[in-house]
Amino acid sequence: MLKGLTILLSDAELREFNEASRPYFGDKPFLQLSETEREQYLNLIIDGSQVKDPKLLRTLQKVYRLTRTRVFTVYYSNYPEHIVPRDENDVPILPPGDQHQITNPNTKRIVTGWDIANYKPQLSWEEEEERRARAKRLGMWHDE
Amino acid sequence: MLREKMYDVIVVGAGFSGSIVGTKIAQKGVNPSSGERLKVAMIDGGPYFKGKPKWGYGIPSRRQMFTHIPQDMRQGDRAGRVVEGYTFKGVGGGSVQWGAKGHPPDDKDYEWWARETGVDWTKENMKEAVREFLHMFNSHTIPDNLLHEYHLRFRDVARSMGYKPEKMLVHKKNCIMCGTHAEFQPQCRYDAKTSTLLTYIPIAEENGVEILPNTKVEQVIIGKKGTQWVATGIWYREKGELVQKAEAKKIIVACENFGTPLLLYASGYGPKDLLGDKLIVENPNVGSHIDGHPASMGGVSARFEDIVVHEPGDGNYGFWFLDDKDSQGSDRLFMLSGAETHPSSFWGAHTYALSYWAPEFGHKHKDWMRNNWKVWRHISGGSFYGPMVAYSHWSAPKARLLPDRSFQFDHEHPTIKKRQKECRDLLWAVFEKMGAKEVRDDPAEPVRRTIASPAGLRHDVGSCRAGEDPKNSVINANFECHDIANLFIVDSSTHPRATSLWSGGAVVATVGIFAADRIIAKHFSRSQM
Ligand SMILES: Cc1cc2nc3c(=O)[nH]c(=O)nc-3n(C[C@H](O)[C@H](O)[C@H](O)COP(=O)(O)OP(=O)(O)OC[C@H]3O[C@@H](n4cnc5c(N)ncnc54)[C@H](O)[C@@H]3O)c2cc1C
Repeated sequence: MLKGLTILLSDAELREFNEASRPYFGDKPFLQLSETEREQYLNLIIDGSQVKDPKLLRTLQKVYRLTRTRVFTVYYSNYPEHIVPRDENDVPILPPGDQHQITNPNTKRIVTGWDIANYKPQLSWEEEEERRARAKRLGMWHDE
Repeated sequence: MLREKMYDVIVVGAGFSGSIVGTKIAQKGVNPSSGERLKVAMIDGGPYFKGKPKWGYGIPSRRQMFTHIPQDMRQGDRAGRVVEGYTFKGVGGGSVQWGAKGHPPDDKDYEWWARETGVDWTKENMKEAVREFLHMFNSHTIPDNLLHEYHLRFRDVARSMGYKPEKMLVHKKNCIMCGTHAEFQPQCRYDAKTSTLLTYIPIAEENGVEILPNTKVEQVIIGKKGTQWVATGIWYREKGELVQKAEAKKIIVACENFGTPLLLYASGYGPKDLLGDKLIVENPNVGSHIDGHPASMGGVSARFEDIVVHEPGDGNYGFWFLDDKDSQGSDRLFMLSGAETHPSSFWGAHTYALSYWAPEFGHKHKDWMRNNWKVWRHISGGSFYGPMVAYSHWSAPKARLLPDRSFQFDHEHPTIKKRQKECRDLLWAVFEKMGAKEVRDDPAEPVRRTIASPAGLRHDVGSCRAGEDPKNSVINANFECHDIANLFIVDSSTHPRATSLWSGGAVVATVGIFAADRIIAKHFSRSQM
């Protein structure tokens, strides 16, 4: 999930983030904090007033912001059900003869970010047909 | 590969305007001496998703390419294939990607164009072009009963504040209201959003136009006949192939407001100070006078608890109203109600997860994603009238595009700052009156970065503007280059000022139709003999 972050964050910065919790949480690094303590640590970084070294604060906030962006982007892009299988030309691989090309990668195997957000990425053919019928009923079908 | 290397007409850039102009010339134009049909090539640097339109359904090639999963198209590797930078580079150009909303020229546009450079692009002269645009793009408004409560409240509040709200014009056919219609979304999976891929280009195919996708034009060839500079052909490069030459009697450039001056610079046409010893023909106006709508203009978002969007909408915009400083429409603010769509489908769930309304992290964030985020709307309000904000206060160097593509727009100019503030206060008041639970300022910088062109402008125009006087323009009102015979420019770069309503493509298309009619009348009709 953190692939792609490494260009923006160095190992040293990640280490600093892990270590900087020690003074506030009985010498425990971030990875050993409980869930409640992690929340407290992140809030402390967002608030910033308790971290007196401005350089350290910049690093902590940078790690937090970039990680937050990355985690939410990946998770709410439907990870791990986010991939449409494609051929070498980047064209979605479809069942033979499929004209409608419904390539919704969401499955019901597990709960993903899309399920939580109730995000509908693509209509099924039946849903499309319902919508066409609706557009006709509403007088919004302008041409055959 | 170009099958024949000699054409009557080569259109460089088969985008919004280029594809209209190329199609019309092939359909209606003839060789003035022989009356024969013309050999027309339309060339574009990007791909071509070919096929007759199937309105409301889509066809396999386009359904396959445009799977309407936003992040799928936006992933770096895929997006790079189809969408370069902020506009669609490919046959159809910006019309493939536009929001399909907006108005043809407003009365104020005709007035400002004439005032600016003296062109006779009057309401009367453009009447036919406007009619054709509205017909070809199936322009219409959405009936009240299909507009969301939010828009109706916006309209009513605007009226109560003394403004005259109007309905946004949309350009679609057989929209199934899937909820995913949005700007930045390449083509519509269902062939409902009108693009030139669906309107003019099929006619080009029927009329034998040779359409060359994935072919980048490197230079227009400029030669000399006696004392006159003449465009004689192009150097182009097909994917992975060497530079090749094609000749034509007329070259029509339509590479958009940035692409056109860049191509002309590469061809040796432009300002001396920029081109140095690469200069062949001098015109200091190439790449200058760039105007547009500043991208971040007092943006405000509102959250409503009593307006919940349950149903995907039609993806278009509701109402707009104008706030002018005087009867000339100076420093105009164009206030737009926002997009009618299901928020979950507009930008993709992850953009909501990262929105500044969302809690920072943890269960609160998850709960918000599960419940609350569905009730806030992004309000795309507060765009404005570029011409009055920008030009007279805009010092020349800042308005220039340089050959290295760098460009700067003075967003900090006092007039813009002042109107930004007024715009923000006005929107804030509107939302409060509409009963918003919460109103917030949009962070300006991210908005500018996501929506605007590199210049920080939308609907940018003017880099090769039309005018009566070669001292302040590049082409004349008939789209003929002042300095180089047989060279025409027909795209957004030709407009003397930015449009005064929310439109780029709608005006580009109208001017393109108008350009084609003028070029045909003057160069490709028998009556010329
Ligand atoms: C995301 C987005 C949403 C928009 N929404 C709206 C809207 O809702 N309403 C509205 O009115 N306007 C809208 N616009 C604006 C509208 O799309 C543009 O104003 C319009 O497309 C400009 O038309 P054009 O012909 O000048 O250039 P384009 O349509 O950009 O066409 C230029 C073409 O030239 C090609 N090209 C460039 N250089 C070369 C070269 N050297 N060789 C070969 N080919 C080349 C490009 O590939 C491209 O296809 C939107 C724009 C964007 C980016």
